[in-house]
Amino acid sequence: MRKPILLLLTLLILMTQTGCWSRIELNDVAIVTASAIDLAQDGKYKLSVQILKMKMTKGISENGSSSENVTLTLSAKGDTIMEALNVIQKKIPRLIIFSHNRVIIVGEKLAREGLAPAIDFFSRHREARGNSYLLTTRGEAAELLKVPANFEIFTGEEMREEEKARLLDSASIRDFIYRLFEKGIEPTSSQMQVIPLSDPNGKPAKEEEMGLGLVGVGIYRKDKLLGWMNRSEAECLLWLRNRMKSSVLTVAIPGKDRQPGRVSVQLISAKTKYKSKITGENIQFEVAIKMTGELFENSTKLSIKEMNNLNFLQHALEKEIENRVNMTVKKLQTQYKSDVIGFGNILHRQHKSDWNKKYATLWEEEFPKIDVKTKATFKFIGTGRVNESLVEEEELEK
Amino acid sequence: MAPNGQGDSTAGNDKLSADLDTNLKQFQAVFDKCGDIQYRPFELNEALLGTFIFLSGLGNINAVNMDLLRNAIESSLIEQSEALTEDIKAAIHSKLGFTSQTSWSDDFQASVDKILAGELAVLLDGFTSILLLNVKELDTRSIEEPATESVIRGPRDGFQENISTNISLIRRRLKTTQLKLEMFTAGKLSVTDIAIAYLEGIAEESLIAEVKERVGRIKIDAILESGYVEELIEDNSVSPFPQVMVTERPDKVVGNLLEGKVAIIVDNTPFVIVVPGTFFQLLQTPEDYYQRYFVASAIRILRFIAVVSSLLLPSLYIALTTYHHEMIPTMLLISIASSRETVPFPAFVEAMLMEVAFEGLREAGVRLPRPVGQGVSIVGALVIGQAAVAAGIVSSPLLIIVSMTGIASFLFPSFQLGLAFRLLRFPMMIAAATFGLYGILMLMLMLLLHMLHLQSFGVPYMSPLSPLRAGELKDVLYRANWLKMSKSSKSRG
Repeated sequence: MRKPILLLLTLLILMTQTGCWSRIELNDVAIVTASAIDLAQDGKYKLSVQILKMKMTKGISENGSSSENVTLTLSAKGDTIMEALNVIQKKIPRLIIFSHNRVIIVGEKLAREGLAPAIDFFSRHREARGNSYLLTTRGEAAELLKVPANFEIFTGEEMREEEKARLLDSASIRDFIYRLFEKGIEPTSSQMQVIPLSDPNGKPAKEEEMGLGLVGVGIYRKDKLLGWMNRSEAECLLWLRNRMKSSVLTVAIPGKDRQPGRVSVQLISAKTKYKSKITGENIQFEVAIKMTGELFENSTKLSIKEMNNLNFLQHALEKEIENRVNMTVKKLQTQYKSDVIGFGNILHRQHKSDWNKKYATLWEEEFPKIDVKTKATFKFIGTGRVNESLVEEEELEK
Repeated sequence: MAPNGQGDSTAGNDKLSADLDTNLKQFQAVFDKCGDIQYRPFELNEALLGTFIFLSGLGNINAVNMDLLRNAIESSLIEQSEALTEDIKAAIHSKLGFTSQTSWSDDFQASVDKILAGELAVLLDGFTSILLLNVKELDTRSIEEPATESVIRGPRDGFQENISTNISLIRRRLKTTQLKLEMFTAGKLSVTDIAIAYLEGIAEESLIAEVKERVGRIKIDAILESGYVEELIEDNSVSPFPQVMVTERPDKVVGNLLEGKVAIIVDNTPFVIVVPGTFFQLLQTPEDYYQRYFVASAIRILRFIAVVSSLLLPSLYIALTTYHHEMIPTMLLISIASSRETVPFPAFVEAMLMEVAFEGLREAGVRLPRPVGQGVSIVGALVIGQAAVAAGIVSSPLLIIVSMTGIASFLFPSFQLGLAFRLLRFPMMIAAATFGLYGILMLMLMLLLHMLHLQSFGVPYMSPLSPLRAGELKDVLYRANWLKMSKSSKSRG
């Protein structure tokens, strides 16, 4: 009988020895779904958090309408993020938790000044997720939080879903920090903007017609934003980094006669291999891209029943891929001088001693000088339901 | 069956005299105020008098039978009225062939015991021995399908209260001399018959000896159900886990006998104990072996899931919603949080409330007479389920958790093991409410340590998983094909 009593006493003592009790009921937390950091005029950080209003979400699940705003956006300024958060915390009666914060948006101004001090909070905070996506936007980041969600319950989820689809190069906080510290590779982050849903040029008539869209990728050197890459260049980055999930490639086929056509393919896989060679002062990279795709649209007169035509198309696509890769790499080398693809990293792996001796410290200067040769191979794995080109068939009937 | 055998050797103090009246007085003194004892004097011929002594109700004997008996005894005793010789005993034996068992006793105390066990005693003037006839035929219910363990496919007969019927149900499945049945009695007042059944050559000698030793050690006034025996012979009486298997199904008992287990059959109860009981054995049903093995394996896996969820679901809910918000997917968290918004209680109180209500409902369902039972289920489903959620006292996700836990706990083939897990759920919830997942982990570790430490009749409770006997796992984690199982000597094939 002594033993169980002793055991029980030990347990009771143990219970009182714990420091803080992290128990908190769900009714007492404010769940942050997205946060935005901007640099204010006076050099302070402006933190905006999007918090879920639970009562409203219940209304939605019962009524099925989403016209009402279910989230609350709170902002505060502070010398550090924590200080700003503290100000926000005092505005609401519930404890703010960051464990479901899936998106962190950074304004352009702050990004150009340097992100590291701002994201330190998110990498250090026990609650914050390493896999939250880091987004950059032109202008104020807080603006994005105000856009009403079109499909999900709240905007944060919509942003996350969009990032998850990996249509453009995405980066989580963890990725970003990893690439920040890794030598021979520079970080990127997706660029998200408020864009009109219907009209790509004109201004939307109503506010509801605005949506969030990924428009490109922000290129960084260290933690400072240098500039943006547009959609097609950003897609190219995905291929080069072996992270493509699916993408579309369109190529114009000049054609033998006057009427040029276009061919669109759905890319199914893209695999890139790098081979580096050091000859004297020169560094050469051979980039071999292997892609497969399915033909989705063919407005040329070429019938794909013919093996020759198929080969011709494949060749044209290969050329296009090579062109786009070359252009992207060139832009990185000349305009930004930032190695976001990670050529340095590859060199480090393939020529360890040379890298350690020579290039490790000088890579920023060395990168614009490297010679990149691209070799693409494209293979059709499907041509769709139709064999003959519709364009050609019409002509045959005449 | 009473422990009669050839009963003459039973030690007693009082010898019988040759005088009928002296004997009768002795019996009447012992059976004083025992209203169910009946005496019926008879006369064989002018010279020879006798008396039947029997229990009314226990013995199935009527006046016609008694006359028959009288005539039979008379015809064999008619010539000689001297001392009782072996010849006469044999003659009576053969003449009385129509009753099941006859024996002679010259010991008073032994005769009293047998009369109480339902035998008919024939006292004859001038003889120092009593003729005992086993005419016992108790009123019992017929063999029915076991109420607690029903199957879709499999035999429908179940044990009932009569030990000899129960033994016959086992015997008809094992027509071999290897099946041994050793009879004991226990209980100072109840004098309950206990049979220990095993298959010689398959069950280990040490196990049989241990079971006999423990059953022989039982000292109690009365045994009304095999639960008494279970508690008196189990290894660890403070453990929540049942260390013996209890079943109403003869096929289950036979299956276990074939695996080298020992069955303890107690009179007056349909529940037969099988030892040693191991955790995984308690999670098996005979139907696992009757259904196709793919299906049976899938059901076993389902059962393992049920074990885990019946123990952990409510506590995981408490731990995740009060400590580890980050572990719930965002959208799920939102729907839980929004339905919890109006709930005035902490998650622990909420869960406790519902679990206690559910357990109460269940207990009420068992105890109440059937027509009232329906009322209980309506109250349970409507009042507790619907109204509580509608009133915002309980959140609907919790209600789902409680129902899932309830369903999971119904999946246990062994009601006793299910009870253990139902009970353990509550400490688990307290651990979750005080320490979160850490608390669940600690309690799980303690439970595991206990289960690994536990033994039943020398067999580790968690065997064959620990200590690992990989060859036997094919009948534990899943149910292998018979072709593969017959290689193992201990299997049922």
